[in-house]
Amino acid sequence: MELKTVVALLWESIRRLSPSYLYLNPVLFMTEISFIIVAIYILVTKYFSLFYISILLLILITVWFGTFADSLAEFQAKATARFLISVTQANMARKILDDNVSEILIKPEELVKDDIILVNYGEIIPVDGVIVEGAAAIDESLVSGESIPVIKSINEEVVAGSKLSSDWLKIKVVKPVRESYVSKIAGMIEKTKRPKSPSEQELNLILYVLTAIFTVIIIAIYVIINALGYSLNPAILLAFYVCLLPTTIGALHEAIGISGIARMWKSKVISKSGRAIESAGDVDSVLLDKTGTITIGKREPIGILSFNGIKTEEVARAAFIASLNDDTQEGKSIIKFLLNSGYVPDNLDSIITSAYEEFSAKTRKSGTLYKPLTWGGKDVRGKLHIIRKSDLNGIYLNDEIPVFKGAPDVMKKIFNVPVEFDKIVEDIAKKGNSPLVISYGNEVIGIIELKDIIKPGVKSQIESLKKMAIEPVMVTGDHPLTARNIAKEVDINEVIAQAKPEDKFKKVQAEQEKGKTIAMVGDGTNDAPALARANVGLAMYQGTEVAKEAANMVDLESDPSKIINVIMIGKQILITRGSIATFSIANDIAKYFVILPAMLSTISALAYLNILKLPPHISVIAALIYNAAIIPILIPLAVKGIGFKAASPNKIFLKNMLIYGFGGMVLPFIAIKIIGIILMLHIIF
Amino acid sequence: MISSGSFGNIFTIFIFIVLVILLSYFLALFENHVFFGNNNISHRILRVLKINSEEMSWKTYFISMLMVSFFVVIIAGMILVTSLYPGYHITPSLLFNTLASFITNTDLEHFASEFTFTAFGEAFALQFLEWIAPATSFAVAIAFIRSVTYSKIGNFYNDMLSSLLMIFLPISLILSLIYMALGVPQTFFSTLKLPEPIGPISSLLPIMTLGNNGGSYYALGSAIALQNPNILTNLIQSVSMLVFPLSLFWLLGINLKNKKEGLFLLIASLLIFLIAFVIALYEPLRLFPFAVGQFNTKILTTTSIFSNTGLLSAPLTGLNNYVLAIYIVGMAVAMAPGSIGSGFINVEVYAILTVFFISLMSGRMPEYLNFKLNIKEIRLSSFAFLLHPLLIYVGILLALFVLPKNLFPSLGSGFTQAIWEIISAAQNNGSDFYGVLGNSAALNYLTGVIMILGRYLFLLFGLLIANEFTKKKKNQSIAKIRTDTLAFSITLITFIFLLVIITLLPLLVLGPLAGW
Repeated sequence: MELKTVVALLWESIRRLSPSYLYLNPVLFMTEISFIIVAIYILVTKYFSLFYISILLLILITVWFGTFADSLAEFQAKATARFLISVTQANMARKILDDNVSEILIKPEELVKDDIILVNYGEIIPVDGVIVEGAAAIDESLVSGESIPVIKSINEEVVAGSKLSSDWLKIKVVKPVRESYVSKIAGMIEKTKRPKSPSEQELNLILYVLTAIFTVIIIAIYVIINALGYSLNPAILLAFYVCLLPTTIGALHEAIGISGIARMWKSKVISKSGRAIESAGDVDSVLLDKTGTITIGKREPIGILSFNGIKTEEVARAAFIASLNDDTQEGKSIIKFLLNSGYVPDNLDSIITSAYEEFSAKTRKSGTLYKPLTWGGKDVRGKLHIIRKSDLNGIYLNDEIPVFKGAPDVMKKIFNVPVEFDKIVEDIAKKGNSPLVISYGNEVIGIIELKDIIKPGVKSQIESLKKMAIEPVMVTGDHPLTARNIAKEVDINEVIAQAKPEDKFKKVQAEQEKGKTIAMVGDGTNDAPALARANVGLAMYQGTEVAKEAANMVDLESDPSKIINVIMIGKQILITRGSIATFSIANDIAKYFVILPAMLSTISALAYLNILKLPPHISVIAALIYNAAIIPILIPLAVKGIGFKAASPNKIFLKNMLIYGFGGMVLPFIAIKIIGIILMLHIIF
Repeated sequence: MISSGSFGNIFTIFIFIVLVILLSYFLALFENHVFFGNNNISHRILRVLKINSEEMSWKTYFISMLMVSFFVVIIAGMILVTSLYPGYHITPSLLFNTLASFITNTDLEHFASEFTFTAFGEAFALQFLEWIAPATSFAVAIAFIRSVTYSKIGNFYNDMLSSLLMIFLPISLILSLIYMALGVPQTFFSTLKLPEPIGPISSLLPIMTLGNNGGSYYALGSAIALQNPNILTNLIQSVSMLVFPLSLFWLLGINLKNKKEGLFLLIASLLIFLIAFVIALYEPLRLFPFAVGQFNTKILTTTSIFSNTGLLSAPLTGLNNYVLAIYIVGMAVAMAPGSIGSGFINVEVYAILTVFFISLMSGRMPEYLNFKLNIKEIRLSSFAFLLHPLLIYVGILLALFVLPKNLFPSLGSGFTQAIWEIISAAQNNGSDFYGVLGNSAALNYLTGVIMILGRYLFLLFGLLIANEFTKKKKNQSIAKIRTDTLAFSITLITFIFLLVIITLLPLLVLGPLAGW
């Protein structure tokens, strides 16, 4: 950190000592009140001894550590926020100024109706609008699910979230975007404005209750002791009060919440509410899209099968013809596979010059209308020709041979298939692979077996989820058998195969009916209802505006497997909050046994209670030092979160109960004794 | 003090625990039949009487309970003022205190019952109240169980009538006969005979113990040999005080279709009781009735204090300071097992607070009995937890101003007596040091009000929590903290220990621990 930042941080933490700022935090507020009372007491009685001044300063330092933790967490979060905003601003809109030539970059949400913007090739249209100039191919797949780009020109409407696959457009804004999630980032860490998450509110309530009890207790003690005929030093009584108040959690409470959000941001996930982050920790099942989350989204060929005694080389040749013009990843990987497995291509120029039919959601096949330029070395252009019996079934009146590759169900409908077709397709699906059927002419002649590539690391992530008793559900458009096999490979039990977008919504709804908390990932407009319904909806930044609007979290890196990180961060926030709260309350036992005997040291009948055997003044100061010092010691834990390994909630709780619950009862005895001994060696009160 | 008879003592305590666990289970099966089975006797009676027997909201349930209690108190009050022994009179403050005390299941007595009221008054006013009081808190616990299992509150009249007619009455009848057979006196026509008058004791004893009332015919309770003549009557009384509070845990488990859910609450409750009992064993009683002996007296006294019955079996002044400290903790935790109904709700309140912390610690949002908890239940549970410490501290502060000169506390034993009085009133225990000495107008009003607030506000919180549960949907998640394990029992004990110690320690230090 720079010096300037450090100074700003210190100044901020001091500024926050103002009661007008602290009143929201019952524990720190009452600690500050104690400071004021002790200060007045010292001034009135003129006890300016080291002991009283120490009490006074230690109480003040306790509060200051609290405001420091707050400020630190907020500073760090703000730095992360600035970084995030800079990332999201990469996607600025180009607004055309009135001169119709010059353009400025502007945030999409700052656009107003009738502004003109320029969108270039490869960019995403940021708002709904009407084309005023230009024509371009527009990929609306994210919006409509239709993957064939449509050509649009002047006066046609375009939808936000579509991507230009060619040229450029000038668009008049029809519907400006609403204030987006990005602008909400800053609001999430402003202490006073920050919406409190449910567990934060609940813990805050318990802090109020404990503060109330301790306040009543010390007032009662003061009155009772006086009534019983003994006297009590108000400064020590207030020191006792400050030690009893759960100052540790009171001081770190706010920081834990803010840094939790910041940790989410650091992993480039913007969450729109604290509630969503907590729900993430509470997830019971999570819908995982197969493609992108479990598999890398690429299918690799692993083998060639041929039918009816057709030579494998023939199938390979057909596959080569069908794929050479295919620019998709799948087409390229088939070519690569064929070349690697020793296939030597011929007639390359014929294939390249042949017409190519691209894959579309409607036809669900792609291929080449093969028009050989030569055949067996002879120029066959423009001639009718007969093809060998083995690879054809007759005479073509024109010289184009359709060579296709596609999904089994589609290919079966269009081409002739051999008898054993269904069985072979099923066998491949059973192995968890996908059959890509190859046709030549009117015949299906073979199959390329494709395998989904599992993302590295996914298996262990799924294992972690299951260890935490979270049920992963795989969603895919694949054939059920294929889907089940992939699921088996990564150890997922529940699969929704051949899923349509509404299936996700139905599943979310059904699980919520059972009272479960559901997380899911989505990017398309189709996913929006499910994203909105799910307790944790993570939208991809590259997805549509509708999806991002509906979801309560957006991943700037558009990596669907982030959902698992999101769950872990959510849990970590809850664990940190719960453990530090338990620790703080458990600490009280020791503090009681240290200060109570010190406070009542004038009553000899209670001398035996002093189990640490420290002199009264040393006890009070040692306890106050411990009480204050434990706050900065725990700041790193509060800000970074308590580390945990994936395990069932019962195991995690038992471990943390041992460390923070029982540890919290024992640690202060030891620490205060040590502080006490050190004090006795050096300081005389 | 484990003496030569220690083997016999271990055997006794073993039998006692086994009996308590088994009987509470069978009792729960019976209660299940009465409240959740096809029984509709009370329902029919209500219809004949044209009394509302429909499903109630928490508000109606609570108001019905208040109305019945108020009605009963008025009748009992009229009987009491007309059934005094000649020459005695009762001040308004004492009447208020007595009625408040008996209807709230406290049975704190600032008078010597056997020398004040005739047998008629004993039977038709005080005993009458001792029937109604446990039936009301029992009903609230049943409503609570109904809310977490069947998402409804139920009907107060139905619950109260069922518990009175189908459960308390038959069991008490049988027990009365057994007590009579074992030599406990029963007469209806007693007059004031000194030194030990007799009255309707056998008939009072069952409901007094089963209902955790503790409002005995004798001011010294079962320390009087007539009321507790032998080891057998001692055992029956001890077991009676524990079975009803404990049966509610079983009843919860049975209706949740997971007995462990109740069993491990019962274990938490019994473990605290046993730990306290074992610690209390090491210090001998200074004064105890020889009829049943040191050990058995301790069983009865510990049971009576921890079940907030407050029935004495030895004078409190005979207890050593550190046993007193343990007993004060026992009264204040009010869940080991606590009195009928209230103890159960107290355990649920502690369980909800514990679940809040341990759920967070495990990375989950709080969830209990398959219900997601939100701020409403946490708030109500915190208030329910806060109620008694507040009453106790404010009560003690006020007591310092109103205690009569002769009772004004000093550090140690005097203060112990004062806090005992207030804690006993707030937690509806009913045992006290003061007895007739406490009969001062200010103290009568103060403890009376504390008893009423400690009872009805607490039950109100219980009903409000139950009401929240009726609105919730059951959750079938598997990724939750299990509350049906021994680990949960131990964690629950730890949190109760933490919460009770941090609120109670200053009082213990100035009271019994100062005189150690």
